[in-house]
Amino acid sequence: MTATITINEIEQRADRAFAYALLARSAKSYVMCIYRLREVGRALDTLIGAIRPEHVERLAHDESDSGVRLRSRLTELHHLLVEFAGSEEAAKLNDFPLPIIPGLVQSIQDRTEDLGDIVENLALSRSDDLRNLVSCCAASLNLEAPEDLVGGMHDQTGS
Amino acid sequence: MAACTIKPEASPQFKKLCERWKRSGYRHIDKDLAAAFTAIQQDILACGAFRLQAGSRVEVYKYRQNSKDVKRGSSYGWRILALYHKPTGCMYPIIVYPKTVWSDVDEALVASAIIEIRQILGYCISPGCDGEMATSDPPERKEQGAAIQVKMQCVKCGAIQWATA
Repeated sequence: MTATITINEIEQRADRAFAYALLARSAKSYVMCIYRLREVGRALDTLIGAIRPEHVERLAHDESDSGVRLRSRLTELHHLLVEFAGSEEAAKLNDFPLPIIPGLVQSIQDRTEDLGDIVENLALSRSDDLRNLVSCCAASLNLEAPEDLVGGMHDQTGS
Repeated sequence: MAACTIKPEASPQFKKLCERWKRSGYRHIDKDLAAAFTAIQQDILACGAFRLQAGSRVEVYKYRQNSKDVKRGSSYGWRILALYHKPTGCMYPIIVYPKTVWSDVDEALVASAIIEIRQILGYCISPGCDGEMATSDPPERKEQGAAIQVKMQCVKCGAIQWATA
């Protein structure tokens, strides 16, 4: 027995298939967005987890080609992340009604701040102006200025 | 975990900066700093400590502390620089500044922030000069918008700067 089907019903089915196709496309974008944000987050976690304070101390005074290159790359990466973290798109993703994405964006923003702290520590460690200022402050406390031995490795507790 | 004794009143520069930030609208600075000092007193590596300069007797540490006035995480709060005198175990806070606009930090921005701090503290900002600024003789004042500026002269290099009164 052949089922009879009207043009109207075919159109309804086409509409439904079209709607599912659109949904699939959105779902794909959503999954891709999660995947990419997660990859960025993971890469940042790995990077920041690997940079310990003693590495920052050593890197601040490393004038070798690789040291200069790494400092520049970290600053460049931070610029890039700040652009994303402060963008309108990030703000929209932060308010995204579906789960996971806002958490991933927040995590990238937090990591951006952590990286900013590293870049700031590098810049402060290398600043002659800060060194002079610290010497003035030490003198007014009748303390000798720090000998500035950073670059060699020291016990972090100072013991 | 190393403990220390904190002497927040010892440094005239630190007191001056605290007063300055309080006048600039950071009303909760005292409470914020007290919270940081309580933590640092128990462990000198608290508050995201980072050693900026090392030495056999004196070291410089940088700390992060939340600001109740900024109302964001410690990344946006106070930065405290302190001298640690190892023989006595005393920590002397010397510099404090709010981090609110350093979102995109680099060496140039850090340099200009340090110049601003030097200026607030009354040091000459001429490159390479570590002299202090004194009111010019005879004293001169001028209005700059709503603020009154005073003419200052470096006692060492003679450079002229206008500072907000």
